[in-house]
Order: sequence, then structure tokens, then C-alpha cells
Amino acid sequence: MPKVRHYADFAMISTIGNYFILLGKVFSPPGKRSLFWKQVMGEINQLGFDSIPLVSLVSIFVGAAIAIQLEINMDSPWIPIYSVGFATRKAIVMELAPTIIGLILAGKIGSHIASQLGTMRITEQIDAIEVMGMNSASYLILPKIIACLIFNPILIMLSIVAALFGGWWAAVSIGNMTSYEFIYGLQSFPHPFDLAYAIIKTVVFAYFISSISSFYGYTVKGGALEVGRASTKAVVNSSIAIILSNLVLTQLLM
Amino acid sequence: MIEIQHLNKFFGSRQVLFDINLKLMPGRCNLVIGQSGSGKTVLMKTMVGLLSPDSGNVLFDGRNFVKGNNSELLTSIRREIGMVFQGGALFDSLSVIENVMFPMDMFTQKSRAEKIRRAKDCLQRVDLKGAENLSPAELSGGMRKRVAIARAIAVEPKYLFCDEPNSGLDPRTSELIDNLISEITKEYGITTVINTHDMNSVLKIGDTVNFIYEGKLWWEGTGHTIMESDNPEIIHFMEASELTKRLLHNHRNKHQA
Repeated sequence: MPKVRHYADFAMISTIGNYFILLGKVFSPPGKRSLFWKQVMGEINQLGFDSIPLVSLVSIFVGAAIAIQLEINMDSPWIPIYSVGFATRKAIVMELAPTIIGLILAGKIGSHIASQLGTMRITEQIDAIEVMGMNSASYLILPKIIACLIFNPILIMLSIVAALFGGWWAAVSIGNMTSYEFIYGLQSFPHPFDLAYAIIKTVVFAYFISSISSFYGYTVKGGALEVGRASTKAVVNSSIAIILSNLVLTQLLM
Repeated sequence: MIEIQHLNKFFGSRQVLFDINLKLMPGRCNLVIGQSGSGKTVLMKTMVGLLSPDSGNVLFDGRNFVKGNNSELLTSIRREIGMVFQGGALFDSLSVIENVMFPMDMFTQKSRAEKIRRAKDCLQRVDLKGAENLSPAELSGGMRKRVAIARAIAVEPKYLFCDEPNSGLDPRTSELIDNLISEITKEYGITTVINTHDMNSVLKIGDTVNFIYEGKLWWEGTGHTIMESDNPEIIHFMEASELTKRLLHNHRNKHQA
């Protein structure tokens, strides 16, 4: 048993080491700049714009559920009714939008990146790029990281707006609040750093999602089965990285 | 000319290539043959720089592709290499013409119109006129190989590497691909290296034939002299194909008579 444990530890250290070696390749100069930026634009379209419907839909309904939960649980004569709007805003900006949507994006973007790169690896498309004398890691992975760093904060802003709208809609149409009471709550005790906190978390999560998923996709060996496994590992490990870094960032920033 | 000197390659503690010495001549189809797992693909991947050898040199017209730490030299050699992968390795997200234009986008300063013209010429050369806007998913196996050849010749390489170019193809298409590679080799005077275990290709286009067995260079000759070889491993390899088995039988009968 201790021997098995030893190998497991070694595999984990080796994986982490390989991840950093790959990052070294990723952050070395890419090939032709015009091609590189064309690739970045393509990734923004695939990883960013394509995620808008999912992010909007999830945010509206989760925002609505939060508002209903808060309205039910804060039903007390000692708590002003507008507190529902305030608490909804806090929950959405601080945790729902960056963390929950981060986890959803880890599933959507992470599996997309890992399966795309994994398929390119097993069909020798990555080898073809290398033979042409290009740095394939930089050409394929760096645009994905840049696209996520640029577009995920935009997605999170959109998520905040959609979730607040969902919360307002639920509180007014399903609950017992007036539109004025909810919006008054939303505007109460403004704290601009909350938004900065959400953006900082999003940028860190975006980096983890794109780099970890790219690592698992790029280093696939074998066939279709391994691509599937890499995709699962990408989502699981990106999600773990998000959860752990969320705790660390909360401790550091709050 | 490509020259391989004392090339050794290990995967962990397992040695897969043993002291390979080879000279691959320009303007000729240089075939590397051998059973699956004999080390042909490892040898080719080492030649094009996808794998690094544990010892030995690969010289492209005297320029060392392995030990040269001059990155400009390595890049300039790489720009002179075209490669046709076993499955074509076409980029799924690009159309046929974009695939052919890809190396030109990367390495040339040509205008878009010039690149399109050159890509169309290359596609015409491989008999794929009219397929410019198709996606790789819409192509048959033979068409994918031909697009891969067009992409490989787009930047006028000095060295062309083909990894099992006719695997998975019907005999007619296989012959077409062989002829195409042979014609391009002669036409451009390039050094072509082909990995194959197809005996039809060996007999038809094998200007030089190098037989690899268990990671060692076992025999060197041509597509014509291979029939005269009395090496048991080569005979065993050739007899696996019904066609060459019969040819070999006829050849022996003729000699005995």
C-alpha cells in the first residue's frame, strides 16, 4: 500500500511539473503576430460569445431562485423588506456570478478546450504545426488563455446583470415585494470593491480554466478514449482549482 | 541530401533505434520499410525534429538538425521540410484552400491573392480543382492525403516526408498517391522519404529502399534488387503480401531455370 501511495504522489508531482514546463512553452514568443491575433479573435468568438446564452440563462434562473429564497427566509418584522434586494445583490456579485458561473464555464469551456486540443494531438495536427517550425503550444494555447482573460470578466458582468434581473423579476412577480422596494435594496449600502473583487476572482478563474484544460488536452496520448478522459480531468481539476483559489482569494481580499 | 549518422533512440530504458546510418538522395523516392513497430515512424519523427535522438546526427545538406543550437538554422531547415502525415493531419477548422495556404501564411510575405493563386495551383497539381471550399470532414481518405500533399508542397520544400501515405486506401487510390509523390519528387528535385509497408509502393517507386527490423537498419537496396535479397527477414516481410509472394516465386523459378 505505501508503494502505491508513493507512485500516486510521484504522478501528481510529475503532472504539476509538466504543467509548468508547458506554461514555459506557452509564454514564449508566438509565430507571426497577424496569425496569432486572428487566432485570439477566433477563440474569443468560440469561447466567449458562444457562452453568452448559457451564462444568461443560468444567471437569470439562479438569480430568481436566490431572491425567492431570501424573501422566504427573511420574512420577519425585524428585517426591512428592502434587505432582500440588498442580500440578493451581495450574493450575486460576491459568489454566484464569479464562482458558480466560473464552475459552469469550467464545464463548458474546459471540456471544449481539452477535447479540441486532444483531438488535434491524436490526429497529428499539433505535430503538423510543429513540423512547420511553429511553437504549437504558444500558437494554440496562448490565444485561448488571452481570450478567457479578456472575455470571462465580460461574461461575469453580463451574468451579474442577468441574475439581478432574474432576482427582480422573481421578487416582484412571484414574491410579495414591489419593484421599488427591491431596487431600493439593490442600491443600498453601495460597496464598489465588491465588483472589483468579482473581477479579480474571474480573471484568476479564467486563467485556471484555460491553462489547466489546455494542459490536459495538449498532453493527450492515445486515442478517442484518452481524449474523453482528458476532457473529464480538465473539468474536474479546473473546478477544484476554482474552489480552492476562491477560498484563498476570499481570505486575501476580504 | 539527408544523412543520418549513428542515430540511437530510447524510450525510457527501451532502445527503439540502434545506430542507424543512412543517406537519402535528392530527386529520389527513398523508402523506409518494415513491419509495424519496427521503428520507422520513430525514425521519421526524429528526422523531422518531433523527437530528439539520444545520440547521433541528422544532416540536411550538411546542416546538423540535431546538435545545431542556432534556432535560426533550425527554423530555416524546418521551413524547407514538407510532411504528409498518415491521416493527413488537416486542420479541421480550416477549409481545404486555407489548409494549403497555412504554411504560406506562416512563412511568406506574399499577398493574399498570390497565396490563393499558389494554393489553387497546388490543388490543381494533386487533381483537386474545385475542392477549395470544402472542409476536411467532407473529403474521402484519398482526397485528404492529396490535400496534405498540396499543403506540403505549397512552400516548395527541399525535403518531403510521407508517413505511410497509402495506408487505408484502396489499391487504385494508393497507386495514384504513389505516382503523385514520385512525379512531384522528380519534378521539384526534392529529397523524398516515404515510410511504408506496402510492397506495391516498394516495387513501383522505390528508388532506394531501406529495411528496418527491430530498430536496426537491416538492408539497403532498391525496389528492383529487393527481389534478389536472400535475407530471411526481408523474404518473410515480402511473403506477407500475396502479390510479392507470387513475384518472388516467379523470380526464383526464373533464376533456377
